[in-house]
Amino acid sequence: MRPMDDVWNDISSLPSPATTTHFQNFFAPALRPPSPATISFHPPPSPTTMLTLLTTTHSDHQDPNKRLKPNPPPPPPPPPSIFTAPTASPPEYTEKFRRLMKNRESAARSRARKQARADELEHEVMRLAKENAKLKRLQKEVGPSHVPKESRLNRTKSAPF
Amino acid sequence: MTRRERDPLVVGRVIGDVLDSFTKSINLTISYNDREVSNGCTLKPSQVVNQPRVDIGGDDLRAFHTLVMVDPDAPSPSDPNLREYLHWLVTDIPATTGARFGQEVVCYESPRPSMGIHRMVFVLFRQLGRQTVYAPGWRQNFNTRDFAELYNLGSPVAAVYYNCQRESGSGGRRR
Repeated sequence: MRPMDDVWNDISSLPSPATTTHFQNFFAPALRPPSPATISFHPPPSPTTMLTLLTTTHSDHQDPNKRLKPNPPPPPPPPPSIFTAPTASPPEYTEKFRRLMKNRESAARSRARKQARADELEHEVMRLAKENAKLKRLQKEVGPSHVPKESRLNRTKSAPF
Repeated sequence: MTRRERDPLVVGRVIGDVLDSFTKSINLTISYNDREVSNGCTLKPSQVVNQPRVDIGGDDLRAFHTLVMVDPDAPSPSDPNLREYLHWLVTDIPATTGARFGQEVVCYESPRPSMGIHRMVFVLFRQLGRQTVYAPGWRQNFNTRDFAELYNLGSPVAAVYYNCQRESGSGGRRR
């Protein structure tokens, strides 16, 4: 067991606050190197420690258990995947769970893509219909007085001026 | 009952991942080979090899604008650790004209997504006046919000995006 001082030194040297529930994982050995699938929204990644793997900007009040909801959340903000340090027992950390979450996110992105395209096309249609109606209206007003070009009067040499 | 969100920029998460909510106030027309880009349309890398034609609206030639083009899904939408990848940066574009009248600070780089389906986002800002903008040291991990703040650009005045994936399909399963 590591001396308490060591633990506190490591914790206090980290830049961001860690969620208290994960302190005990600090002692668990890393089973594999930091996952490349960790979605990080921070630019140059800070040195990877167990705790930086466990913290994200979105996790302030999230309970890990809540993420196991069977139904995907309604219009999802892109769920930050928190691929925490792998330990054997909690189901969140298995390869299977990772794939499940990734697939869910991919499906959500796909739905968002489809919906966004549909919305854009709806806007287009509305816009074009309005423009069309306006142009037709304008044509009606100007139309009856429109004379085909060939039969319009042209100036000739016999004009008195 | 909440009205379903209908803005393609929100639904497609451009507002969220790249930008904050804004009100469009100027026309922005992006065309590749005479084909106008509308939100969420899909273009192949071969169609976007060269920089598009960019026309902006407005009415005052003395109003200058900055155009940013980024890929928030680099290198892969499931793990966008290079978000945002800067593809193009043009400043001092006068209203009613186009990108070819501006200053190209970062030259156009053709999108070549290898994994997944990427969003390629164009954002237009209005500048306070003519200004000197310095190119970032590298294209990856660009941050449009920070960039706008740094140069006092305020909120965007227009934005549009398209989807782009590898020519032969979406790159399949992550290795």
